Amino acid sequence: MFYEVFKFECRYQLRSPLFGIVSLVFALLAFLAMASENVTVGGGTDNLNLNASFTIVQTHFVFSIIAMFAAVAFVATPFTRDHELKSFEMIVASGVSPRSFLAGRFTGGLLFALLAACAPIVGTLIATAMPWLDPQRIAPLDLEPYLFSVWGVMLPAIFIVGSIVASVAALTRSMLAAYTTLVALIVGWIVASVNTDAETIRLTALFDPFGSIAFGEVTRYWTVFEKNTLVPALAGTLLTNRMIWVSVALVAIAVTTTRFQFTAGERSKHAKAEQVTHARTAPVSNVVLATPRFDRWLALRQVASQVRMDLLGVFKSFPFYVLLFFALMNVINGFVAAVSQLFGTPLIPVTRVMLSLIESMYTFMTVLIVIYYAGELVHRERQHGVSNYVDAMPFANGVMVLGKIIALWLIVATVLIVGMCAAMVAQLLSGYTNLEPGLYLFGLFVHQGTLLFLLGVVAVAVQAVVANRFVGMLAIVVLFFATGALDSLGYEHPLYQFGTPESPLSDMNGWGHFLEPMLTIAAYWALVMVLVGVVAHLFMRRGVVGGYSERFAEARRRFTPGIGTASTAALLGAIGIGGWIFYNTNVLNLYRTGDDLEALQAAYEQKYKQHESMASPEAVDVEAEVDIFPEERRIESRGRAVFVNVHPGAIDEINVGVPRLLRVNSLVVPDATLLSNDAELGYRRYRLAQPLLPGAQMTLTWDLSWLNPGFVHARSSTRVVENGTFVNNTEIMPYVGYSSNLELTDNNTRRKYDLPPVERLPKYDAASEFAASQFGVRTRTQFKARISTAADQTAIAPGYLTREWIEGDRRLFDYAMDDAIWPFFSFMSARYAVARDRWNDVALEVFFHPGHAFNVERMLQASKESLDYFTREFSPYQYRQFRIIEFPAYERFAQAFPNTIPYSEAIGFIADLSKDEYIDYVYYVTAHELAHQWWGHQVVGRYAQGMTVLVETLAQYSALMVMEHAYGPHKMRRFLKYELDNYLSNRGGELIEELPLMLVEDQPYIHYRKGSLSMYALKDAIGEANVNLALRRFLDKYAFKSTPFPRSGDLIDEFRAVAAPERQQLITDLFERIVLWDLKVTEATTEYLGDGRTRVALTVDAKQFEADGAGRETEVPMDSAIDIGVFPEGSGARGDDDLPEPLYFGRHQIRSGENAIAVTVDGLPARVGVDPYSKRIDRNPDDNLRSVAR
Amino acid sequence: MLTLTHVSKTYANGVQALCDVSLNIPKGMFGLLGPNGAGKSTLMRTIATLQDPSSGEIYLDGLDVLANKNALRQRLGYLPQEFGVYPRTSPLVMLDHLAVLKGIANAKERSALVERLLMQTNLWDVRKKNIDTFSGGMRQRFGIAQALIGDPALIIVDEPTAGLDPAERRRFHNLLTRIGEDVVVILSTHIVEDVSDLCTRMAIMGQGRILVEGEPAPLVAQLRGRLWKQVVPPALVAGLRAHVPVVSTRMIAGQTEIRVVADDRPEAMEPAEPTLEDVYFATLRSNGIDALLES
Repeated sequence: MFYEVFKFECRYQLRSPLFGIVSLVFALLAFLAMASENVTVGGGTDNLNLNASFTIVQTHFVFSIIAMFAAVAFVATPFTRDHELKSFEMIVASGVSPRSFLAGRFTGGLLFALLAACAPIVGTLIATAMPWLDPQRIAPLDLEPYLFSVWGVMLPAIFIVGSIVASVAALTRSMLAAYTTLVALIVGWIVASVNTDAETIRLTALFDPFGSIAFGEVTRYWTVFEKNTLVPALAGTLLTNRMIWVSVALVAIAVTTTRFQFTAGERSKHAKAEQVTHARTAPVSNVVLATPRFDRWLALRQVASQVRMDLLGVFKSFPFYVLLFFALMNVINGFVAAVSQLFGTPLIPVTRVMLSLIESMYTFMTVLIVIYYAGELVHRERQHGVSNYVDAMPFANGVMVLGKIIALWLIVATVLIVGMCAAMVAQLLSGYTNLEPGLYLFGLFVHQGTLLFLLGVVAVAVQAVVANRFVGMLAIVVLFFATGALDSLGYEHPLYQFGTPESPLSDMNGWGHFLEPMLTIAAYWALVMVLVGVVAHLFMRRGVVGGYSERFAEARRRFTPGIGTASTAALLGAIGIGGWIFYNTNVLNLYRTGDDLEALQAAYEQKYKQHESMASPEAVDVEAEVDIFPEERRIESRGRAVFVNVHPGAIDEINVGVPRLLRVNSLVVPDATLLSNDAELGYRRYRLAQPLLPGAQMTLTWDLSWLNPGFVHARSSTRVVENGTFVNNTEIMPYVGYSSNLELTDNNTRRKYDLPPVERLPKYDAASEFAASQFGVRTRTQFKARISTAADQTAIAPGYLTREWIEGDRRLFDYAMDDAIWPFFSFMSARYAVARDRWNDVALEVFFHPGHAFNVERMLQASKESLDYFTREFSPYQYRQFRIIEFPAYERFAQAFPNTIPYSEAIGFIADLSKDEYIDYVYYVTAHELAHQWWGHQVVGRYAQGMTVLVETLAQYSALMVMEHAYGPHKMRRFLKYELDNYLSNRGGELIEELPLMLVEDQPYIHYRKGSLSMYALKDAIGEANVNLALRRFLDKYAFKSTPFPRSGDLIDEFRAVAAPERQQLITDLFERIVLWDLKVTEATTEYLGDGRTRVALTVDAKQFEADGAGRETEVPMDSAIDIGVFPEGSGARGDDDLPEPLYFGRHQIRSGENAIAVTVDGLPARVGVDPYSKRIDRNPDDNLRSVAR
Repeated sequence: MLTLTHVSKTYANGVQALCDVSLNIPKGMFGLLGPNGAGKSTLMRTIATLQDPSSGEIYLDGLDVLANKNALRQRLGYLPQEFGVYPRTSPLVMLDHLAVLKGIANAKERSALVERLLMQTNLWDVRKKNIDTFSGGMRQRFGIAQALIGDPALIIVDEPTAGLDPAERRRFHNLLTRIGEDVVVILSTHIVEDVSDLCTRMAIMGQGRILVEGEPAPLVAQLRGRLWKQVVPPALVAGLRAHVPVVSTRMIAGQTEIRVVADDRPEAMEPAEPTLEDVYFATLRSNGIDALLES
């Protein structure tokens, strides 16, 4: 019997078009994902092979989730089909046993779901053979990842989700319940994927029914090499996850088998209502009483009534609350994650943060809600047989369409309002009371809502046209993603890119200059949507619908003069506003796509790279005059700079670069002829009448305007804004010579333009003694600036304020440095509040947005303590002031200019430091930036590999030390855990090659993260005093000097000089190689010796690896002093993640392989550990500790 | 007066659902009889403006229905053979909404109307219960209630008494008859009794055509003297069919009564008193349509 049912099911599935269509679509999508650079699913980094094992498996994990939507149709319809087709009684009568029925249909459905889900694997496989793919990025065919994708990805996912969903379908006989279950599972997955915290991800990964998070966890620390070649083992978190979920699926099947009954469930319902006796029999006279009145207001009343009916239906339906609940869960979860993103420290939940949170966490769900309910609403009358008589009722054709659109809008509005209330509750619960409902409403309804409301119209129109709502939903999804794909194909214009442009919000600058394009483009699309609404009206089905010719005939009938006038008005309006948009984006501004900009970068390099080695004079005295007009987003930049020839030979040609967006009013190179002027790329070549002899000077003067007229279509500059302008010299001043900063850095893009692989920095040995510093020059310069801005703003540049005054509606500031500085100047202007303090004779100032006073005191405190430590341990501070200046959240960094630190409002100003256990990263960032006044401004490295060690790594070390003194080693350990996770997980995203610290090429995960770890390990090994002694000596040699600038090796030499001979190998491992350790305790036994003493014997398994640039590891012999700790029961004073005071702590020489160690301690040991505080780079630090066997 | 002139409907796949239907339907009850698939429902839907004919014209009291669909809808009450309701909705809420759609904009009038309709259709006690829990009869009464909203001049009811118990059916008949005095009521059914009980005029449809149209009594009278019957054992029926034009058979106490239309009395048969049912079967038979006997 089972076989019969199974065969029937297979035949049924084969005959239904669904299987063929779904398989084809999936295969095609996968094919495109692999074979086209414009479609990505999941995605690996650019340095991976296109057919890297990791990419293939990851792509299929993503497909396993997409495939579920189809899988539900395969596995759930077998159980709801009979019910819908009312053939259930027939099946019952046929005498099939419930179990055979269940088993047969289930296996049949599952088989086809699996077959369809494997279609992408075929698509991928075919795509890798396509001849147009970059052969350099295609590895020889390896079937293993494909096989794993079948049995390790698709099979379990289909079985697990299929079983659960089919069980729900079999027990409820409702497709809706089945889909709701799927949505619940997917939302569970989304909620779980929000967490990226290394410490807890293993736990949250277990909640993911698809296993993709566990896959992410298992491969978190994979390097490029490993991603290219390895397939994950079904072990660890992945295995646990799969086992848990397979169990859940088996339980679901078991429950279904026992609970499933053939007796149709609905009969009993009817009986109850039937009981009602015919109590009242009304007189049959006066049948008619109310008279219909068909006036113009009636249509509106009808629309309102229809909306009411539809909303009643939605608000009484279970799925709505499920969707809403999950959307809210998403927000709450996102809240927890977003507010604790840096080092686990929460943010203060200002409305801007909450808004962007709702947007990022909510949009997906609301888009789903729009798409789903458009289908539900438009087909509602037909689905329930209401249209059979309602369509013959006297309402105008537009009533139904309008009702549906409005109902859908109100659903969206409800969801948004609920999100807003949830966010406000979250704010209040975190003790934040500055509720801003106006900002919420605008952000949600205009910024976020526009897309949703417009999509609602499109969705209703599509559903009005198509007969099947699932086809309609699919069409909308495809349409929605198609516009996304347009963007990556280089079609970016808002006139055809659906929705409003990205418009970041800032507390300082509000919506700023993004408001105008946002509203204009929203208005444009709203008018276009009127036309789409008209289409919906014309094609909305009413009565019995015939073929296309009949529908077009009907549409022509419905195209009444009124509709014609409205459409024409909307069309003219759209053309008018569209024209205005076009005028702004293409006439006032140059319309350039991302591809265009890439091409410009490529052209710049191709044309002018040849001049890179040409000697250029260097600035020694700069006087800048900068007029900032915040409300116009305009900057007038004038000035003069004295240049000197620092080179041994004469200079007869000077190349001057001008920032591309600036208009050149004048640019004067005295006694020179202009050889060429490339206005597009901002590159001018001058021949000097008299060659500039070594040591000779010349003066360059300029007058440039940065105009920012109207608005642009994308990538609007956020540098000059109404409140919070922050520009630097490279953006508003001419510069001399070729700038390699403008080159394309992605090797795949470079290949497209036939450019050789990028050279991020000159090779370590290639940089001569005369090479420039990291600043690109060899000399420091005098600096003076006069900045003017709006009268209510403060403008700030590096230097000491010498004069401040008002002229008309302008406020002017004179700044001057008394000593020469590196030519790296910032110019800022905003409405600031100022906090002032002093440290000895240094003036401390924090310029901040008036609402952001939260952590200003911390910044001042950190500045003082840092100045204490740095001046005591390194060298005196070279300036009389130190200023921190807030700038808008468009970017998230802080940057150290001479005695001046622009500091983003997104990092630190709104950090929540209310609890002691939080890592005070405000303190850390402040200390780090202040340290740059030494590492960067006092001493700077030679422009070559390894240069950022001298700047960033040393700033990290300095901040770590100040922090350790302020907060204790426990906090440091937690901080370093984040650094370790960050370093290890970013190795796999390396674009070119990982380098040892000493040769780092401006790779943040190395010079910051590994830098912290290495410096801390070095400090641990040779002592803080020795490290600082080495740093003092290093400063003595190189601070404030010109060529030859030091290299990283010069620093390492100082370390070696203060380190004992047995530490030299460690220095090599930390700085000159890529070394990883794998340390674990494999066995630990205790023996109680009496008098409270215990002997602990442990076996430590140790391995040391050296990795190459791609992450290919080879084991190397290890012989290193490593911490061994024995700990009692319990946790430390600082909480659960803190180890208690050790009973024993000491260093032991550990060699490769097994090491037997025995120590005797006072007290009862509970855990032992090798490198218990994770000072070494170990991919699996958890097994460093082990509970002892008693 | 509803007038249909040469109304035809051919579907895209070539099936002809209506074939040159011309009818004049005066005020009063008009019965439309026909087997399943005869085109009754298509005709009903066409008159109810839910489906356009391929050709032909429909006028209601001089109003060109096809050109003024909404004008017809304003005067129409329609109860289709199959219909549904919104889930989790009570008759009170549903009727109120439908009344708005039918143009009863005034809230007071509407609620009075809905109340009255609920009483008339005996749904008052369950007015707040969800319709989707109703039995077939209760649902049907709800369907009738909605068709009566808004003073319709034309009422189309498609198989309205299916699933009603005899008492309900009688009440419904009374209701229809009363309304039918002033308006055009088209009653589509395959239950001959309904027509003979209620209708002043009638038509029989088959294969998309009007086979016969007229008043029931004269149609029955036409058969008088030409209808013959005989009671035989069931085993003999097949043999008899080969020899005489059997229009219907029915079981009576284990024996089969066959009825035959013929100008001359067939052998061994006795005269029978014709009923409308005989007219129905005879008409189908003479048009080559073999209807299954129902009783």
